[in-house]
Amino acid sequence: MNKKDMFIKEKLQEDKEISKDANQIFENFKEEFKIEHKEKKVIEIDFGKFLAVAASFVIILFVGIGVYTNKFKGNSSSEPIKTQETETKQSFKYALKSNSLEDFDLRFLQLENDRKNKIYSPLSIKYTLAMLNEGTEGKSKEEILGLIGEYKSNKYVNSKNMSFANALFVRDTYKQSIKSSFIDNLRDKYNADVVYDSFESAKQINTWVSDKTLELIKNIISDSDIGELNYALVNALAIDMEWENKFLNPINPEALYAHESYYWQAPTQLLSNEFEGVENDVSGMGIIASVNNYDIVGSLGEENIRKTVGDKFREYLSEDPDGTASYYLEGKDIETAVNDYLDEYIEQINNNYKKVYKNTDFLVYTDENVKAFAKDLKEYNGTTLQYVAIMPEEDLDSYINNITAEDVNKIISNLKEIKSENFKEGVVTQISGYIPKFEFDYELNLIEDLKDIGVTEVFDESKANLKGITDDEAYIGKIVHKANIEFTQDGIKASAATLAGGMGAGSMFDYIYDVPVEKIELNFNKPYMFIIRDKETGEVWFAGTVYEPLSLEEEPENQNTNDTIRSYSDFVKDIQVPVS
Amino acid sequence: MSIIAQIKKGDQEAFERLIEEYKLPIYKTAKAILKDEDDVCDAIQDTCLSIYKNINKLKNEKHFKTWVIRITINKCYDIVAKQKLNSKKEEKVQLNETRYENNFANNIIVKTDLENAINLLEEDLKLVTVLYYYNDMSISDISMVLNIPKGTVKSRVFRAREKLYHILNKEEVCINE
Repeated sequence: MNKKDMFIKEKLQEDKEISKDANQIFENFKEEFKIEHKEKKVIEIDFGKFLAVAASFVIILFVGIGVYTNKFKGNSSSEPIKTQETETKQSFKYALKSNSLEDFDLRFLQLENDRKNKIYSPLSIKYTLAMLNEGTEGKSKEEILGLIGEYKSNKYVNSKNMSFANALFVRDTYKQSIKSSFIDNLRDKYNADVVYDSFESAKQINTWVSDKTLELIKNIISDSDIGELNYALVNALAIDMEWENKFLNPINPEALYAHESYYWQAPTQLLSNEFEGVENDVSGMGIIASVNNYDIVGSLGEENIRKTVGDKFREYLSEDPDGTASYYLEGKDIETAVNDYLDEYIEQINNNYKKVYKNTDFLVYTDENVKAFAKDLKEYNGTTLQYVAIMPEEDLDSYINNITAEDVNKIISNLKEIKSENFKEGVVTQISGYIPKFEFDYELNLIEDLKDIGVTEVFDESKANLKGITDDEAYIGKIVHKANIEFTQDGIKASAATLAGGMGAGSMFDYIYDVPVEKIELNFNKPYMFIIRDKETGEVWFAGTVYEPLSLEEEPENQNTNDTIRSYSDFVKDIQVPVS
Repeated sequence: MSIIAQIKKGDQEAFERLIEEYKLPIYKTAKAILKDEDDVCDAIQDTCLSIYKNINKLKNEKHFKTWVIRITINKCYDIVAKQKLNSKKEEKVQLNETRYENNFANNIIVKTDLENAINLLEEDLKLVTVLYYYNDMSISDISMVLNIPKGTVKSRVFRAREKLYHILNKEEVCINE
């Protein structure tokens, strides 16, 4: 240990006091540990893997007339209604022309616009309608076919992260009444399970649903619901997916580019939370990126930079050659030290040009009306889903009232990846923001909504034509569509990879160039809508709105120790995109 | 059995010993980042809670110290970020900074302890100094915990050492005079 260190260490012996208040906190803590531990409340917190976890479930409960007519009376959604010409016309308005995002997918947001946190699955609804179409005839079929139009039901491969399943549950004693052509169609076209059950309890249906929704939806049907039921058609879908690239912790706002006056401003809290009903801080994920398209060497010329910086450095070295300057001199003469320094300086500043930093992979689009953020989930079984959040400047309610698929598709096609070529030349573009986490479930009034877009007869006791399923008289008494979602990150606090200064930021002499910075603020600080879509086909798996995200108080502590210690080189590798 | 293993088994005494052992490093680390004593206390509270909740998840015990310090630093930065949103607090921070700068300019140092000298260092040196001197961490551990290159840590320690020696020596001269 050198003399100066010994001197400082001696001084340190006199400075081992901590404040009374701080000490009290430590003492209190020892006490609290005692109480908490006895109650065994501690340390058993599930940190979650997160990701996006969502599940959806549609069950159509068929009512056999004469056997079961009054079962669902009293439930407004099961009330038979009159079919009107105008409604049939409406069905064409929302007719599907493809599998990708269309007005149909967004219509349910509009129809239920008076409700707040929403989530539903257009994919589930379309699939269920397609299956139902196989069993309808006459005008009932026209209505459904008019709506699903050109929609093609894709088959999906299941895994532990993604489940897509269909089933027809049939009461044992009713087995002979279901047409074999309907069963064959369901099996061939929709990979549907056909399950015969005594229907004495809902156990078998519930177990199937739980199994097919990755255990996210449980006990959906009660024993009394199926008491006198003869058959039910079910679609279940669930995802439990991780982000393709997790969010790294962008806490420390230190300089990223050596020799440039640029600072990484990373939000750790949502700025100016404008969500109603969430008074406290909102829990979420900070996003940050910078794209350095400002070429200092190109604009000023290497010789000029060498002269300006060289002169200042020479001055610095000669002022106090035995002080901090000795670090650079290391026995070299001044000119050699200056040249060595300048070579390194120019190299670093050249390296900074076209450099892209980001704490995670994402896409961004902003204009005067909306802010949009998108991020891919990992590919599972050949399907890559993408989360897209769109926050309008105006109230979400009025935005949704007027929204069209064209608007949303335009936003999606304008989303930019964080790459040098996608951003303005001559400036450093800085993107920073905060995406809230949310978690909720929702039940769509599907019958009412379907009536609005033109499917009416199948719910009408006197008109329903389900002759494709059975020759017995029947209509749809009830449809339940429930969905839930948990949306968050992979241990943001956990990754704890704080970037404290880029290479060279700790040099004792530095000449700092001013760089022009353009900021893109991407804070999702008020209600917004989201979709989770198949990146390739555009098919919308889930859609919804977030009015009340999770507050920090609701969030479990998310400290994942495995990731806490990471090497600097790993970290840089994670956040840096190689210059192409 | 290690102290961490004992805690994981619910040993109350082991936990108390651990708090005793780490309270100074935690406190000094928080002081290096936060200026307001109330904020320091908040950071300590958050840090303790986090350690307490997550200690069972710690797989490699040899990283315990860097882990604790990492948590402390994160909690402090959370507070700094919140402060930035609060204009009143921002003013307060600025006032404090001005006071230190003035002190440095006039060489009027009320206390002669190391803490005050550290307060006179640039922001990037303070934390490295506390980790190196108070927390007795190696250059490579500091590099890991702050995620900065070893070379940068070295040069910061070097600069801090020079400045501290200079400031503390000057104080001694003042006192002797």
